[in-house]
Amino acid sequence: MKNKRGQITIFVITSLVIVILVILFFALRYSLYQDTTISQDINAPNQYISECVSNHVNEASKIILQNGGYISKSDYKNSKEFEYEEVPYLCYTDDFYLRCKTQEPVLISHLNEEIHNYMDEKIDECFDAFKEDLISDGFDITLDQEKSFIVELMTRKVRVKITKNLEFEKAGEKKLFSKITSSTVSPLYDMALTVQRITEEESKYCNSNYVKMMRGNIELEIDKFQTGNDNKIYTITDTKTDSIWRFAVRGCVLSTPA
Amino acid sequence: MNKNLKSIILAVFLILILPFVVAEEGVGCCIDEDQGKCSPNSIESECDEYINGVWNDDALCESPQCERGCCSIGYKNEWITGRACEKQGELAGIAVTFDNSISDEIVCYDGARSMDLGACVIEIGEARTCGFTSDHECYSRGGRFFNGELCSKESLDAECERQSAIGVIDGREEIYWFDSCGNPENIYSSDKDASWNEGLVLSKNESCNPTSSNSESSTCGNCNLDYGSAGMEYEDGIGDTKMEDGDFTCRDLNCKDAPIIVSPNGEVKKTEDKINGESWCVYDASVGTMVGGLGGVSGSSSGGLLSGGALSVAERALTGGLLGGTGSDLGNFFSAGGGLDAGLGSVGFLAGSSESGSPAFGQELLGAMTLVSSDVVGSRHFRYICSNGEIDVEPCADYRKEICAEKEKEEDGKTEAFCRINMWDSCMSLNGQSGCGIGCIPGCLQNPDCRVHPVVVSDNFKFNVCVPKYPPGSKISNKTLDLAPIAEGYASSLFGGGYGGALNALTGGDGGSAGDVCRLASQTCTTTWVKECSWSAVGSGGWTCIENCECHDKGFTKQMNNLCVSMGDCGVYTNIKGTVTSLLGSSVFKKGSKGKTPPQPLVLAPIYIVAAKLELGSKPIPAEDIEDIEGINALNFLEGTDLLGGGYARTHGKGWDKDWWDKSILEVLHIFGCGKTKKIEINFDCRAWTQPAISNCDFCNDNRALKPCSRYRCESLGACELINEDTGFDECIKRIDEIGIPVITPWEEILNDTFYHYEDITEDGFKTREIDGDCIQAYSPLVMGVQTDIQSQCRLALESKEFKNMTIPFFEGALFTRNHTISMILPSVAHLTYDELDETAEDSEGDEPGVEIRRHTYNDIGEMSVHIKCADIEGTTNEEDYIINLCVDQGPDTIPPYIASQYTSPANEDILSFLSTNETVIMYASEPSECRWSQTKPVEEDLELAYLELENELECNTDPVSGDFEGWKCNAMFPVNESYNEYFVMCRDQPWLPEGVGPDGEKRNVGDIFEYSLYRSESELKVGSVTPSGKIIFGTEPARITLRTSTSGGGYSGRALCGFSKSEIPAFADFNNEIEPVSSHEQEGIVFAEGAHNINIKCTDLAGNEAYGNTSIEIEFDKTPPQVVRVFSLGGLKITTDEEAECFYNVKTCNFDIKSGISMTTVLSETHNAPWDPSTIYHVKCMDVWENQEQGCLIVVRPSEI
Repeated sequence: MKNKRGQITIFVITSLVIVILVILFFALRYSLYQDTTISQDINAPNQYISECVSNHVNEASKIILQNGGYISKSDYKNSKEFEYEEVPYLCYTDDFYLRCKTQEPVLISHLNEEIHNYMDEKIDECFDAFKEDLISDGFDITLDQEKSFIVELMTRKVRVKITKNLEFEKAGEKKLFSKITSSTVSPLYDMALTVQRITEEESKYCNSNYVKMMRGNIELEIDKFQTGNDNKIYTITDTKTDSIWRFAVRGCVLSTPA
Repeated sequence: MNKNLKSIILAVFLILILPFVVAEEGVGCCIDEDQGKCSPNSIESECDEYINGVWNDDALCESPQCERGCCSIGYKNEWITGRACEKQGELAGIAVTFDNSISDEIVCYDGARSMDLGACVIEIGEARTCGFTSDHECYSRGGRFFNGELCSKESLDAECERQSAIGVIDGREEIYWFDSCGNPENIYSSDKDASWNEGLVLSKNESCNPTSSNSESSTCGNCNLDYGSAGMEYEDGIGDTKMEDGDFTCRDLNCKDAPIIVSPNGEVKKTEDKINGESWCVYDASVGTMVGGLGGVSGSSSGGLLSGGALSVAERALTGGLLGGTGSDLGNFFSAGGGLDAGLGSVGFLAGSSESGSPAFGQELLGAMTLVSSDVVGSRHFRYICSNGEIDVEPCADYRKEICAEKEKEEDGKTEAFCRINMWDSCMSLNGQSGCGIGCIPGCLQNPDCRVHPVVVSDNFKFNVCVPKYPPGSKISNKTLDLAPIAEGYASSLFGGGYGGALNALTGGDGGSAGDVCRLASQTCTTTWVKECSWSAVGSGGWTCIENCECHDKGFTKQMNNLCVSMGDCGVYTNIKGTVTSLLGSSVFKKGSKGKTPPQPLVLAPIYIVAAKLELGSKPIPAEDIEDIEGINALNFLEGTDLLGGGYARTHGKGWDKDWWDKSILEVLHIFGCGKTKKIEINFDCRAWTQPAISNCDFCNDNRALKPCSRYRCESLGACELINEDTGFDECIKRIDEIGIPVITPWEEILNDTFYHYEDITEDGFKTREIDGDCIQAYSPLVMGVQTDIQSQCRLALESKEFKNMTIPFFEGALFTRNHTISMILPSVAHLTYDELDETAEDSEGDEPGVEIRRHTYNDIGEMSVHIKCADIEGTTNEEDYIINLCVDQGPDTIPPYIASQYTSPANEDILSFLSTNETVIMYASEPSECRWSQTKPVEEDLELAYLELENELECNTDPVSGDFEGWKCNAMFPVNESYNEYFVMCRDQPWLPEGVGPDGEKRNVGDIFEYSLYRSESELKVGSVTPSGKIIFGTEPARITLRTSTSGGGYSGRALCGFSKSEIPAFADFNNEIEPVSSHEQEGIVFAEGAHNINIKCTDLAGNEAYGNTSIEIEFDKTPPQVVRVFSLGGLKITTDEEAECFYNVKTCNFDIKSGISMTTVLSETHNAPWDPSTIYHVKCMDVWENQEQGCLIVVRPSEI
């Protein structure tokens, strides 16, 4: 019993050391999430839902940017470690003398799908949280289990349109809401267009004229780094939001005599 | 990318890639039909996963659907496909135009400057609103378009005051004046009248200083990307010049003193001013063919052999006409030239050098160095880009798989560079059995990356080889591991059949043999010696060389090593540091006793060193070289191996060919004992370049920003190895110095020696203690570390383990480094004991269970040992653990807690909303504590008493092992009563102890007062008037309006983020994608159907103030044609209509196109005039502003009837 306690203590200390080390390491590198307070106004339920959804879309957008186009790094089709990060290949071939193959040929739809999957549970959470608040305030709530929603990526924003019936009643007054739209400021779409163009040119011409792309969009900074082992790392920065999207390309590689 | 595929880059890439297309199967073009995006080289199944994805087998996506054109969206042009243009218009809710006749991307962008824009006046009830748009957009909104006029022009009566603010427009580089309605006007100039131009649009060229960047101007906002500036918000301290009328600047994005010549270790040798967006090539040393005088001629000029006279020489050489002569003839021929012949002269020297005709040593230098593909070992090509005022370094693919080519653009003189594939292996594949013959030469010359290398040593030892102009690098480390004995391999020569095999290895994938590449240049020259008759009048009775005699001379060595070096990283040559290796790269052997052995290639070492360095300033590889290579697709990489199958024939085997008479004479002489012949073989063995014995690894670590180190670069410097590759901490190390068992020692510098010190330091470990030798106070942040004598990766554990089983990394993670950091906070033994006592109190029956628990707890952390193992780059670790002993002070805690001010939320002195009455505040204590607060500063000086004086408590986390990175979290609800609110917070540690003194006499520590304040907004945030409102008439559906409002008050002087909703219950969309809070808000192009609508506005500032506004509009569509109210004669025919309209007449028929009729209206009006002619019948048609009109005539007027 005592020895067990000792083990627990060691475990606790070990955990603490690990946690501190890990936290120190990552805290210095990222500050990804920020809490956002959601205002509640019973007269504007879809404002509450909209803001709640918007916060989650914002999270999703940041995760996707940080992961180079994916919510989860486990979905990378191919990746490369670069400067301590796993960077996804968005155009890749393992072979020599071949152009790279586009890894996400329908990129915008892919991003839509990523956000859609991420938001599925989050939207329910938003409704549930709102429902609980209303119940605690004495409302009778009827909330349909069924819902449908679409995600639209557009210039400088991500829009989510939700269809779900929400009816609440108090003191004889009844309100019904079924359609809610949420817009979130995000550079995801604009950056995705540039990412798509770079992969398009890389897969076609083995290179990209990213300097011209910057000329056409002065808010973007694009950096290309050719590693010593035939990989190209592209880093796109949206200077308005300081959002960064990094991805890798491997293609048109000539053999190296050894 | 420019549609014009003649454009250099695209042409090259297309041509290069063409062979690949044939080879690939199962890939095609994936078109996103919704977004209008095309993805070449896509896999069908991945495309079909998405409903919008449509796949076809056109791998390069060359269908019209994928062609880009110029899309005008708002004030901006984009280079996208037609469908993408439509889609962006749909998403933004604005009208777009697409022009696919524009073939150049930059022309498209610049076209936005000359877009036809003007005032778009829309009448809303009694009011007239105005937006500055394109005609297309205006008509789609149902407005009246006044091309080239500003909304602030008085005659438009749009109530927009001119020049109320300055700002920038998304997608435009200039700074503009804006009117009071928020419409852009002309480019900013402090000369307001000149800028306003009486309300007419002023083009960029007509605006102030059109040929300047205006980056130093405070009066002109005509920023210009072509000159390297763009309009941005002014920032202090970065050299911006602020405009007189607002916080904007033409930011200088150019690069002053940009490095254009940089030594291999990053030392800038020459600079030049560059324009933003300009790119140029930077090399390490000489590149391409080194011809002519030292340092003077570009390696890439491709003059020399491949052009002009040089080519003719090569051609003549090939036909045998010229080279049929003697060596001295050649020498005379070449040495007679000048200018270009400086290069050719060297050929002559190389070809004709013999013992009897050697030029002076200076000339020899030239001779030896010319006609060598000169890229040095370890070198790389770089593309530098001036990007927004900074230099971006883009290394081309390493091992010279890519080369950097550059051209000067005719239109503006700027340089443009790019990294492109080095087509070196195509050169090899062109050679036939006898080297590069008649059939090979044209192809070799056509490929800009190849050149014909003539070897002309003697009459019967002469051949040409198609060699890379930019020889490839090879993996060095693999090579050094198997350094073969010198004696092996030289017999396998270029012409002996090994060629095809070598290239097969090369083209089959990574890891082909560098040795094989080099061996292509190994060659044997056979000389023939004959014994002279002793009785001959001229003979001495000795042996005389009669064939290929020059192969015994140094010319043989020089020419063969030049060929060897040109193959790749082969032979005796220099690396980027200027170190020549000579022992193993190539060598010369003679088999047989006759004649002398030519000098070994090492004699060339000083020549290569000098020449490589002097060529540092080589002119860049011209991009023009590759403009005419349409035929290069014949150089199919994949087919190359087939061309090589036969290999060259040996040239040496043919012997000396005399005519029959000569042979007969010799046979007669032989009968008399003389005339006997002997064959002597002279072998030149070309092998892979070897690393220098003396390593200069640090050379690679200097100034890596301009010359990034890489594995190839590093290894070229000797026995060096690149560690931490692709981590951002890569370093080139001397391998031999970094191998062995790491010796671990304490890292003194990392430790805060004010509080801590190391003691009992032995080779097995040390103790970390407080400065007075005590154990470490609980919850004190401790940062310490160890050092290793070699680059190592270290890990730790709390018990002894194998290195591979140690799971806790140091702060440096998997890096190989010499310094290794540990950061930790040790919990309190007392705290842990108390917690465990609480847990066991219920079931503990023994006496003083705390003593036992305390003992165990203390044993665990009181004398904690951190076990460390470190591994070198080969994985060798210390066998015995290196141990750091730590202990946590059990004695009374004497360190008071404190609040980490940087982590409070809201931040200290933050502004809250005007309506705030209280605020949830989060703070972090430095250790588990109880904290209190008050709005009144305690008067007691004694901290304990002062603490007790505070009347309110914060809710704090006191769990010893669940602290956050920021510390131990506390929170409380603070009242917000005034515009400025002060709070006083104090914390007391050891919350597990009772008040006063603990059972063992412990005393709780109270920290100093933390003074915290919050402001409340001075006023509410207010939304100003929202426009438009009331009835708005449109001619066509859908109706699009521009919503405008403003904000004032709040916590940030009216600056807020606003959203709008056109539904009854708001789901707000952001105004114009607002990101930064502003006080004027505008959203263009909101679409409405016919009927009444409420628009709600919600604005929020950073203090959390919220404000709402709304407007009501009624949309009507005018679909009724104008009607005639009155027809009369008053100085002519006059017609009055019931609304403003334009009227036209035709004297013959009602069946006419209205605009082809004779106009009766000068501007839209209710009255319309025509000359009075009683004999004429006026067939009149009228249309209103929406172009509503009757099908036939509105009225037929016969003056005779009036």
